[in-house]
Amino acid sequence: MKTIFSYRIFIIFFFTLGFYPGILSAASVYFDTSEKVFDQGGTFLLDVFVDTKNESINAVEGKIIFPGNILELEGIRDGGSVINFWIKKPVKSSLGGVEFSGITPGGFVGRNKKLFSLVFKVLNSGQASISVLDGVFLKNDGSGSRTSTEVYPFVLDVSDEQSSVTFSKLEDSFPPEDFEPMIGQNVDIFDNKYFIVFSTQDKISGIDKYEVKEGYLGRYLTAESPHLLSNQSLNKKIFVRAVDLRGNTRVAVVVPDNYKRWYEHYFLFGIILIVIVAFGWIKRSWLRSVQ
Amino acid sequence: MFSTSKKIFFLFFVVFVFSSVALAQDFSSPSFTVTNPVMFPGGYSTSPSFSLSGVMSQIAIGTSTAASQNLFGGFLYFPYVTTPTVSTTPGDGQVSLTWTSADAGLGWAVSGYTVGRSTISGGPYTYTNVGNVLSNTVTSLTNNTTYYFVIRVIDGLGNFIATSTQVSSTPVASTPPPSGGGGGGGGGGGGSSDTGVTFSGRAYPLSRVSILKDGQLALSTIAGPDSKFKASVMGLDEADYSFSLYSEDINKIRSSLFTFPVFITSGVTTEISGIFIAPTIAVDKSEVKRGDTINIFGQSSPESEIMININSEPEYFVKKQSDGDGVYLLTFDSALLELGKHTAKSKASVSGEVSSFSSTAGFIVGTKNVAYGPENCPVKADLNADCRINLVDFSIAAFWYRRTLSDTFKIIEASKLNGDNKIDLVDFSIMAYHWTG
Repeated sequence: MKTIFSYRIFIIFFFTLGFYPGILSAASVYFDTSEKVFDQGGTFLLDVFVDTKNESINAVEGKIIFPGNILELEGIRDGGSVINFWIKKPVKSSLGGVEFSGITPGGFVGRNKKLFSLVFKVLNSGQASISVLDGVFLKNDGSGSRTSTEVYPFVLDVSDEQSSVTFSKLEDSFPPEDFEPMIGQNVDIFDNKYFIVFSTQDKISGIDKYEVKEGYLGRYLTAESPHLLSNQSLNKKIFVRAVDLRGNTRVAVVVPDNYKRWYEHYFLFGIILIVIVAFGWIKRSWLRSVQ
Repeated sequence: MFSTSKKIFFLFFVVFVFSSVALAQDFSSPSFTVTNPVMFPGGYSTSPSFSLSGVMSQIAIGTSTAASQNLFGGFLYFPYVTTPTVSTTPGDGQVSLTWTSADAGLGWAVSGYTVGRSTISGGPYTYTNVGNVLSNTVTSLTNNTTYYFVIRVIDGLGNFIATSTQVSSTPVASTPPPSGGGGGGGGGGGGSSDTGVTFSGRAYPLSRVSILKDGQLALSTIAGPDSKFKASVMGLDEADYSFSLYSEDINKIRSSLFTFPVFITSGVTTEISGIFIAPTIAVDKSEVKRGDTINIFGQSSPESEIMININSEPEYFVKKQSDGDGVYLLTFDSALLELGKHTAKSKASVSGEVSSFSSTAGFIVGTKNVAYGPENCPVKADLNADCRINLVDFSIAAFWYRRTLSDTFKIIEASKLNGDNKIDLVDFSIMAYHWTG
């Protein structure tokens, strides 16, 4: 009975592979690290890669899972990611995993396409498996067709040895990429009020946060895109500062339509003119009185 | 000796592994149909001036060539293969080449690539088979000597089925990186002025060509009357970038995105040549009364051969020639099509270069004629109706991501996205496909 069952599985396997070759060409997700030995107390960097198997992919989402009793997530880097715009930037979720979703306009094709990197600290000995749950990869075909996905978990054996080796921090002295924020207004969000959208990349360490300042005298406040503008008159310059994980910054300045340069403030010129005339009149009166 | 189950197993195994699957398929064009065709296995014959590729089934189509003529075998289907777009990055005594994957079909299948190199423009080239890969570094080159390269596409029989346009590059001795400069902190900065990428290829005569860097508009340029364009994006850092290009035709219809990943090397200008932006395509009726004609039109490079594919059951393939302005028009008899939804797409070839397929234009074969309204703006994914699909539309969709949609936004989602009353990854994928930056 067991033998027949095995044959059935074998036949089903052959038929499945033979008549549904798409399964053989499924996009695959896999992990890679330069570390060979994993000891307690050490840290290591793990890259998350995609092989699209010649399919053009433009949208991805999923959740990285790992055993929290053996590994602790110390950081996430999206520097050099193949993803251009994150819908959900990879961040540690409250349940312990790392959820992510994002798109690449026009799609991407090929092997070793990096999604992001994870920095883990090894807590305890044992075997740990890092994998992707609910991975979804959509084709760049205009209708968001799903492509089949294979996940190759990363399995590591943590020894009983203690290690003080820590993953060296990445050198990054370059600011994030240049970018152009845009002001938007739409009846469907923020009650039709003006908002600003922004996004850029940092090719090495990845973007840590964005900050927005409205007007020269304003204060930078941490913000996410889309960001509702407090100055709905749109008469002040808007500064958007992208900060990477090493603290390098890139500032983009948006000049709204209603912004007036100093020489366009005719009211100010009027006041200055009145002050000058008044000063002249007072001076003349004073000179006359002296004479 | 063997149990019944084992016999069944081996029967399945032998039948599956040692037999080919015979698929009955009819072939048709607007003027004829071949029903249940049968072809016998053929050989492969060559002489100094002529070669004949045999075929093994009705799916495979051979190509016979001579210096003065091409003979396309099979049942008047048009096998196709796109020509790779090639980038060159010079190094110290070497040139790194990357190219786009050639897309083949209807009888041709890509099995690999060869890299041809020469010190004389136009060749003759010395070819090296590099396998089924999309990059290669040619080493042992002489610095300050200009080399010319082409990428040839090989089919399963080892025949060359497409050749890229020639690209050139001059290897140079490496120079030490500039010292000092501080680094860190502060805005400004950016890469050096000689670090970047140059794009060249074909679009449409006098059309605007937009270049996106990582999904955001980097620059626009105008193609010449011959549809050729050349533009550079400089001041980049050493890193991986994804560049996309598109163009708009005389009717403001946008092409599909052409995307090319590039690794930019510091102090080097990478050349990406042989870009051939896919034709635009549109129809004059959103619904055509069965038996009436429907016009399928668009624009490409002047005097190019346009293959129009009407995706139906069966599929129809028609060739047309674009005029001096690159405009093409096919008046198609809808009597050949079944009632229901159909799509059309096209691709162009000129001077040995072949574009990828255009985006699709949809229409219905029904019981009445409905003219297609002037659609100067994209129909799909333009959530704020500003005729662009960019970060603003992305942010509007992101605002509603996994939220309950308002009644007004449900209407927009239904008309501009996939109409499932929610914003999820599929909607973002549709947006990424139609992206304009």
